[in-house]
Amino acid sequence: MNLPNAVLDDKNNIMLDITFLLVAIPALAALLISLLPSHSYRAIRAMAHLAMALELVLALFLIFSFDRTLAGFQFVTDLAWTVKPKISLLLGVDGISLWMVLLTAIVGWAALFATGNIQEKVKGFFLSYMTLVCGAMGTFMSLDLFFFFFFYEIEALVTYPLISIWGRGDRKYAAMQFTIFSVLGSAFVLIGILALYFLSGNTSLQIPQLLSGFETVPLAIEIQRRIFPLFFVGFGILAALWPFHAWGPIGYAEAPPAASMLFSGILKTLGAYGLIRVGLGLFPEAARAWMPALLALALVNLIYVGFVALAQKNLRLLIGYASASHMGFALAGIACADVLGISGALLILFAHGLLMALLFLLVYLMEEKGLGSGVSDQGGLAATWPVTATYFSLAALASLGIPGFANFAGELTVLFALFNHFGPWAAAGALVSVLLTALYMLRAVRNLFFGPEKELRHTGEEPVRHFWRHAPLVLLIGALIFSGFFPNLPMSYFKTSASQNMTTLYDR
Amino acid sequence: MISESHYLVLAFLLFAIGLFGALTRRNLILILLSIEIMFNAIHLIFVTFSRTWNNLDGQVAALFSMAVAAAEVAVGLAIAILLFRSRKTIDASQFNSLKD
Amino acid sequence: MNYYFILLAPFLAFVTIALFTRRFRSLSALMAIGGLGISFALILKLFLSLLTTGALPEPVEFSWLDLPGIHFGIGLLFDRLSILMGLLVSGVGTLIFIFSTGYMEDDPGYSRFFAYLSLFAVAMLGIVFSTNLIQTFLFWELVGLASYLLIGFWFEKNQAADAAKKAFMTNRVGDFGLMLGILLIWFVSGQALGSAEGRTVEFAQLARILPEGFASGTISGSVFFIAGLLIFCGVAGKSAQFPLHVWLPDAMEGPTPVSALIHAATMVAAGVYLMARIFFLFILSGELLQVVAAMGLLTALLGASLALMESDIKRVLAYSTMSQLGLMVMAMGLAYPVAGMYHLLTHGFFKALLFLGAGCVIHATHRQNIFELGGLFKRMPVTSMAFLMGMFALAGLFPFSGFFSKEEILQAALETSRFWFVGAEATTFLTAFYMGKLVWMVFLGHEKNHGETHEAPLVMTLPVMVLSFFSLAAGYFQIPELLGQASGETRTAHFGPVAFISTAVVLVGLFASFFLYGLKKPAYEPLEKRLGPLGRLFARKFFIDDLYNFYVAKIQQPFAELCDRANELFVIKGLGHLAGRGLYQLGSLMKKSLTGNVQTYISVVVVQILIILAVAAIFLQLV
Repeated sequence: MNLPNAVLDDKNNIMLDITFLLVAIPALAALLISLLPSHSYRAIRAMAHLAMALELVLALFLIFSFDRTLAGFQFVTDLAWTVKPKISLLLGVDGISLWMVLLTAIVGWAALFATGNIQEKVKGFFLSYMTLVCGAMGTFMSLDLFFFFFFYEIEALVTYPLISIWGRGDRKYAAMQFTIFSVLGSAFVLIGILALYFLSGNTSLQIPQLLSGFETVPLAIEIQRRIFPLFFVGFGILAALWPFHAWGPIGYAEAPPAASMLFSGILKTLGAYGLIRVGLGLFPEAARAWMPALLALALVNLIYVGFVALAQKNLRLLIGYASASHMGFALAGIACADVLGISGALLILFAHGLLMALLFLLVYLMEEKGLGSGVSDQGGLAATWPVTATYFSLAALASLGIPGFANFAGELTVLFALFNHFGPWAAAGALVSVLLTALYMLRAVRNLFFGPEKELRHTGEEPVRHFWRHAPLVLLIGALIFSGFFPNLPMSYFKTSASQNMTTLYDR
Repeated sequence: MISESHYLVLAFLLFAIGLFGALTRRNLILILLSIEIMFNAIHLIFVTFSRTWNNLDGQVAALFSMAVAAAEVAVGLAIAILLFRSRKTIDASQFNSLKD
Repeated sequence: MNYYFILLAPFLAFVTIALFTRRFRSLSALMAIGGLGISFALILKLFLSLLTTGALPEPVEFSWLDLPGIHFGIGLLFDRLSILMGLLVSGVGTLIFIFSTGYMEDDPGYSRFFAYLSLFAVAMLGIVFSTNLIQTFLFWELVGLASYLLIGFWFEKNQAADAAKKAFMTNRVGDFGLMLGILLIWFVSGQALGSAEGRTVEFAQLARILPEGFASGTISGSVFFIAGLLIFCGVAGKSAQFPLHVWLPDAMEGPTPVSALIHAATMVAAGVYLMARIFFLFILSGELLQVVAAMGLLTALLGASLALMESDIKRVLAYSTMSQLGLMVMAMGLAYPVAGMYHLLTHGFFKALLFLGAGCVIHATHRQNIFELGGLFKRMPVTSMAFLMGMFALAGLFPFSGFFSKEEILQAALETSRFWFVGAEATTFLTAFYMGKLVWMVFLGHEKNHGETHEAPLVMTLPVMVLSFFSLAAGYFQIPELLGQASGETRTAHFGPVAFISTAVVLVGLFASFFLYGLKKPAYEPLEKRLGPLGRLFARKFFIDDLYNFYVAKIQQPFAELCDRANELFVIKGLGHLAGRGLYQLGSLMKKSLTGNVQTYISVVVVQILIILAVAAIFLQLV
């Protein structure tokens, strides 16, 4: 494998690139926010908006300047930290992580528009928010396993205050179990990393080094077999793999909407990403043995959790379980462990993140104007809230897998990969979930928006009225539609990197 | 006849008695007394081994320890008096303000 | 000439209306009509060049999804089949668009209506000109979406919202099978060539590969049966074949132009069209064709019987559509796709005509129940004449177009076996009967006072008249020859015994219905009493709807609840509480050891030291 930018350039100088900025900006913003006086709400919010806007611009810049023809990592940042073990802040993006970075930037910016209801301890909230984004960005871009874990912990850390302080309802419980499971997953990952370090005899935990090392001296399969399950379980918990699918929805139900957007849009993706990058990338042989198990669990996600979603009466829980169910599609794609499956999974992850952020943003906007928490609390809202109804319907259609949105292209790809790799029954199982999704999403739309007006609570005026309300919604929907119409664009990024990631799988 | 092991057993018994007392008794003075007993047990062990190995180091250590023990008793008694003055009791079970 | 505009024109119309011209009603209508009109013009140009020179442009395609193993494109395939179908869709579509400007003029959602219509147009044309199975599936879904939006157009009405959901879900169930069928075909297409890389979903290539695979034996015959059956699931969903027909009558909740366009002429025809497209697969399995023909005939008879007991104009027409689609499907099953397509085209004309005529009636009288209507012939002569012509065409009376297309089907039926023939003729009889009933009840007899009912405005009657022309004339356009040249078959309609029998059957049906309904209009449905329990069976639509409702309420929902309870118990209370509350409780337990008593603390330390010593002793093997 060749790295277009050497990890250390010839003169052993430190390398800094845009990837560093992507991590530094939220960190810096957090620092500055902590220095601001607690009551200057406007300044705090302005700082946050500025930081996120910069992130978005940088992420888009990365997308445009990324060279799709090269395999390997680009825009590498390398700041050495220790020598033995060799740990350095090694950040870089390839086709796989680039779109996750973009997702983080988009959702990170859009979620700012759901923070209107935060009125107290504002400083702490935005501090946590910036820390979360910093952690997410760092995790996606980290090529050094130590810092991978480090950034992940940073962000898992702030999930507790975000839910327990600014949440609602039974928030202590929700926060506790949400954080515990996040950290539990990462605990398994940590053990895996340590096992990798000690058992493989390598002196570094850096992915490029490890990959090139494994090419010459592959990791013994017994060692792989001992280490991979740790990552499988760890990342599986993070990715809402059954039976760890419920902690997410419960958290989203009580969290402040902005946090729900961030959690469902970004955090879940981390689990799947870790599975691809670390699990499949570093331990191909062992992974291959585990993929049928992954498929089975993913199918349970798709079908069983789909039924659970069908029985939900709380709108937020419905969206949360829908999210867990959709992850099944991505995980099934990963289970195929070939370029087709992984590319499909990545597109689904991208689309899923945008979709969940969109749904929770809409929920926030509607709840602000008096929406109840039940699916059947209101009725006929399309008459009074036409614009919001349109956006929500679009989001529902995207989740249904209607062509024109990225979800369709991703699901289609995964279906083909499933049929190719595991046969017709796997594909049929996945298709059942498509049916289920249609059932509960259409029912939700129908109950909330269609039919005659049902006034069980006083509802205010149209939530989406001013231009700035439209902006995040348009961005999210636009990204979904754009990648839905032209899926070849994201796919072209995934293809090269996925095949490079999987070369080890193919050759042996 | 009376070999070194006898001394050690005696010292062990003394230590155990002292420990038991330190942990169980409620009167502060008696706790200090029990600690003294533990000290004495340790001194006995030191001297025993000094004699076993014909090395004066043990006896030197015992002398040091005795001096330290004396100082410790002085400090301990002073603390006991202060405690009595502020709490009007020297019952150890009454001193639980470290509790949650 | 960039033929992509066939798709792009209505798409741009959709986008423009949706984003920009919501407030400008006339502009929206103009955009929609213009968009589809451009498509029609382009297709017409292609058709004319086909007639004159016989030359057609090569298919064009743009790569939509390109990955190792799957190469899907979106493009346009020009052949006789697609051009004729395209003419139907865009031509009838444009007429219905024009009609809608009059029909929907009082509706506040006017612009939205035309946006949805344009969306539908793109989607339908995408199916018609599709070059490969995935493109078909993609636009198939979009057509389902447009149908959902249009059925539920008046979303404030509960029935409309429910009908839209029902239509979409039923379609989805069919699409389940369709997708699996496509996957299977894709998978085996590589087998024929011996390599996974050769897998394709393109019609042109599959038409070559699959028969070769069958002939050489590299693909087993049962594969074709299964694949075809799965594809037929999708067909059944879209074309309202039993048992996925339940959505069609409810779909009448949508505005009448929607019923005319989507649920009569075009969208429901997409299933039959797909079968024609992929006929090279179907013909490779004899059992499959038998199943298809049987389902078709069953649907035809079922639809016709259900139409007997209906008293809502639109629902009668809906069941009639279902029935006629059944005949088309049967024709496919009898291995005569040309007849099926022929009937599809003529049916498109006269069914759209009938619906638009019904639309005129509804627009004028604000009523849909035939027992509340009557004597409209005097008030709305143009509509009545046109409706009558449509009825004759549907019944299959010479010299209308329906006669010719039905004759082809009946001919094919007779040639296969008398069973099919009798069944088809029975359908013909019922069709004539209920359509006659419809016409006599609505247009003859005394007027049930409707106030000032008058003829519809020109913008509505003009399309109706154009369609009646085609209902009469389409039989003379030599459509089977046009189609047949593609599949290499030629057949000429001849005035043989079939023609006589069917005409006789039709006339008997018409007279019978006249006798029951025309002479003296009954106040309520006489058949219900006369047929007794059988009548009730019909009236309750054979309890199929009830079966579905039962399934949803008593099986599906409780199962979902069960899953939810299981989830609650094991996952939430188990894992979740373990993490959430469990830790809190563990913490509380731990707190008990903090007595505040120093002696306790020291005791603990002593015990720990002893334990460590013991372990060390054992470890170092001192004890």
